[in-house]
Amino acid sequence: MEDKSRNYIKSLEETFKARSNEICDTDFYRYDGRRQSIRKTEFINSAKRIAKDRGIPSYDPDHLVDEMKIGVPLGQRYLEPVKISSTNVICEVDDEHVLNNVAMQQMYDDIFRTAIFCLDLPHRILVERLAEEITPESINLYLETINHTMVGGAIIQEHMAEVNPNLCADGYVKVFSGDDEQADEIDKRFLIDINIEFSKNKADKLKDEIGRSLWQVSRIPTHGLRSMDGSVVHRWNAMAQSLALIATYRTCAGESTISDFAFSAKHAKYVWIGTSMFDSRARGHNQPGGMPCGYIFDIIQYDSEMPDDPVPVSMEGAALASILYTQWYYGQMMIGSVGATVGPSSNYNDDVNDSFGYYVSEWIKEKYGGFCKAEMSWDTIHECAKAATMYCLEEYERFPLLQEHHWGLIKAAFTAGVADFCAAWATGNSMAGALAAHYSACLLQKEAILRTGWAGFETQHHNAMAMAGSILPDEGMPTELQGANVPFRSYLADGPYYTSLGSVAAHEARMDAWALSPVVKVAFADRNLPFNFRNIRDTIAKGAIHEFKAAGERDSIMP
Amino acid sequence: MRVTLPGDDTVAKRRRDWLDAEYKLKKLREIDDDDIVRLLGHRKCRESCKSVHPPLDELKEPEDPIKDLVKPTSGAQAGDRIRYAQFTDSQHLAPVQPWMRLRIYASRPEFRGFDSVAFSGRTLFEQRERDLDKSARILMESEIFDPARVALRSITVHGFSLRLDENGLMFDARRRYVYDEETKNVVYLKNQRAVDLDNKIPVGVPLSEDILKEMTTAYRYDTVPHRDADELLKVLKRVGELRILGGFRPDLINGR
Repeated sequence: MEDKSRNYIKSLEETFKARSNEICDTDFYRYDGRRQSIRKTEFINSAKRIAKDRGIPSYDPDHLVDEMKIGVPLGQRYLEPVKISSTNVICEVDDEHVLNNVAMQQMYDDIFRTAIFCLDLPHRILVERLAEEITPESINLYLETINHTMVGGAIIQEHMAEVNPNLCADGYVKVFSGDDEQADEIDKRFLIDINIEFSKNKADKLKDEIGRSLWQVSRIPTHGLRSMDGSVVHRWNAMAQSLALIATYRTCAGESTISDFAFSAKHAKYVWIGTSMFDSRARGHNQPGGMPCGYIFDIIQYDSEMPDDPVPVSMEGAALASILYTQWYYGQMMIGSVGATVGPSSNYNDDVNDSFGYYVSEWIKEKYGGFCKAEMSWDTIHECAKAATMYCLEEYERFPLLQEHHWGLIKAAFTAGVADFCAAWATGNSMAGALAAHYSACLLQKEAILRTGWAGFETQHHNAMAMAGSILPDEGMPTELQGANVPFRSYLADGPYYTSLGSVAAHEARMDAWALSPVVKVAFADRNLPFNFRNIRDTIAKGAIHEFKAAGERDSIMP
Repeated sequence: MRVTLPGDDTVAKRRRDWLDAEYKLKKLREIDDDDIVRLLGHRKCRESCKSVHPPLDELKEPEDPIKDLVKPTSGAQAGDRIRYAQFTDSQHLAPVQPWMRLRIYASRPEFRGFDSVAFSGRTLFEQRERDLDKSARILMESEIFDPARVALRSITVHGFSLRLDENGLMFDARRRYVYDEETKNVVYLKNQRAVDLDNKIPVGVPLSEDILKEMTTAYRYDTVPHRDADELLKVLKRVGELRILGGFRPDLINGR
């Protein structure tokens, strides 16, 4: 097999225009400051116009840093561009800030505007209480009707103001079933066909688990989510669905079954993408803080290259987890303003994660004879964490360019992530991965080179290591159910992150069809979503170079 | 007190020495008292320390037996405000690293009365102001300081990860110091807060690469490799396992 463990060197040397093993940069202080960056130059020019128009100062590093001498004179070093891993796109790291990248925004919107709900219960209400007949024709009529109500169309109400369809072009409803016969009878415009979207082996597993149930996937318009928040999603779905059921089955508006429709649509057999957070974080449903880590594997749809290669899918998982948990939740929702981009984006930049992944995957094959073959034990976790950590530390020492690129805490967090992959792939156990990550960060790296990450990083790893296996903070939940929604993880940049990496890596190594929920897996196999979950890195790269078209824009109601 | 640390390699030995309160840190250079005050930048040279409370002798404090046991430092006695010195240690063969630095502060009596936090490349050191003057002098004159690979920086530290500047200096986006070709010294042009100094302050001649390789307390692939630190790894494995068991199934520790 081709050795891919040093692919990152080429990317680094290409973006830095320097040799990776050189220890000196004789051009420091001669890089033309922040003007070396096209983006930052654009920012300065735009902000000057804004400040002039509004009469209030805006972004102005020229004045603050150069003239007033406060803050860092950015650009004394080389502000290296980055290559998004597995793509040929080179961009600036500013293009990976979630507020500068519309693809990342659409990724967030597409995940959290999704309402997944089982139609079996309202169908049972219709049959058992109203003696209605549920037929393929009635289901297809219902689907056509809810595709009208989902985007703000009135159906049983009189004299209503309705929503401009241009604002809701990405709002729609589809269904899927584990039963081929039932699926065959659904109008193909509304069907997510499991047999088409998955390999036979995985399709069979998914269909077995889903069974004869008919599941509905509602996409609340992006405009709706962005104008309100994630807590509106189940309500919006219930409103649109109840109206569509009333109209399709010609029931009486207001009769007792209607409340049962609403209840079933909002609560019974309804799948939350994220739960609401505890009081001091006070965020509603459907945001990354309440999303369980196991959904990361279920949302990504990249074609598996197992049984030989767990790297591509695991790296797609690392990209999604980095963006959702570290950039969106921790960087923007917890911190705000400038946020946190450079650290988490290192997980999907310059092929470093993939390259290190290939090193440890080869090591696993040699050591254990393949993936998921090592015993889940502390000995294995120690062996994997040690092999991965030592390799990473040596690479950073051999190639000063890499250390410069992964400055500061990035190196520590990144190395822990490689340890995570290693233990998860070797054992097929997500807990092994999470424990190896914390062990690498708070013990192996710390005592080998006497450095960890930033101070909070230090705290969390000492906490998280024992707590990851503790019955207390996450109430003994399997790693797939853990997330940021417990106080000890909520302020951490990588508490849910490492758990996610281990979860994706372990399930991919096991060649599982899903990690936490088969219905979530199928819901995101939908090809009508604006964000392409089949290739996350490729799609965010389109966002980075301004080639991605996001949904939910308000152009049609503006001058 | 002799420090117990696993391993018999040179890195482990160096760690043990520098953490040993009885080991006297070697003095490699001399820096003037006034220059230390200028480098720290908390007050003007020869200006007296600002106080935040009256001297302890003049204070009537509640009864507390601990106060009879612990003698206040001279800064605390005088009521000085708490000030800081922050050192940045390069990834490229700095003699000490943030966690080593913090442990040195904690294990040696000359730094009594400090507070600290270790980050990935910088370590904060806080003390009462006159105590800080003394400590900063020890820290800059001793063998744990190298003028090229260690720097006094209260802000803008990320150069510790970067490739080296000309003459082997750790990069500093604030360019607080330069290498003086004539004297072969590193000289500071700005204080730790990146405010211009009236006069250049020399802080010594950089140590050679070979000496730095001998001195560093970090394991490294081309000196003493991390993967060869068998005894250290054995201890860490045990600590890791017991920590997990302590969190999950304390009953399984069962005397281990």
